[in-house]
Amino acid sequence: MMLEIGLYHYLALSAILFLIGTAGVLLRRNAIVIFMSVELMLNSVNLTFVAFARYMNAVEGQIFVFFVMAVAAAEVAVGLAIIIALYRNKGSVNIDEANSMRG
Amino acid sequence: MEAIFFYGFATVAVVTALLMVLMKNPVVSAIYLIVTFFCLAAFYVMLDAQLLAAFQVVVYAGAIMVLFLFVIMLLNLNRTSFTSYKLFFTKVVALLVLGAILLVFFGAVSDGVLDIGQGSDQEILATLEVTEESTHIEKLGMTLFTRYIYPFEIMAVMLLAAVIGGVLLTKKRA
Repeated sequence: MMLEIGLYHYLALSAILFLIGTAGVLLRRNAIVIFMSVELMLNSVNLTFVAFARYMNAVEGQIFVFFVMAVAAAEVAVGLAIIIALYRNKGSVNIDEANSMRG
Repeated sequence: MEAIFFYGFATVAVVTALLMVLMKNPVVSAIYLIVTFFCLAAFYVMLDAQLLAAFQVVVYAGAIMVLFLFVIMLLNLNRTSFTSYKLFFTKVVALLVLGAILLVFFGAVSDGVLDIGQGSDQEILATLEVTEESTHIEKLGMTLFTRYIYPFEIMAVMLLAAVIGGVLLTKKRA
């Protein structure tokens, strides 16, 4: 079973990458590295979609990956603009210092 | 044979993803993420999605990560100044652009009412077929521009909104 690559191999790899991305989001304090971890999570989901599209012979999985890529590109543009605005107001991208709304 | 490629690329992808999360320097993290994206592009090729592999390299590694690196290296942005614009002229241009976008959108989803060429959309669709011998880009194009034309047009408007939003968010107050 280890030598013949099936659907479960790709799903396991995608789950591992998703876990690494989630760990990055939860454990890092730099806003840009958190954002890059979110991009890693999106890519692991893309891999899941393409794997299912291949093993279920449906092209719709790849269509959805196309849209996920476009949404991720737009999200990066706006998210980096927000990080830049945050840097201008606070002087750093450390999320521990962005606590103005703490009661 | 395929197992060698799969396990090799999988190891590289997981190791570089871990290093991306653990490194202190964000530039090094970005480089490791680019390597991860290239490994994922190799997986897309293994899964018979060659066009998506090209998109992955061009969009993710070529545009998104370049944008990340720009922002990481330019965090001490100098102030940018925009010249003042006439508000009324801007509103007129915005209305015209919105009208053009709506025209394109309705032209894409209409059933041939706005066409000036020959044949309606139904007749043109009958000549397109996704067969076994179609290349990957043919399959993707035929499905994308017929069944998923609504999300495609909305995606174009969304990208425009994202660009405008990005510019507005970083604009200095006059």
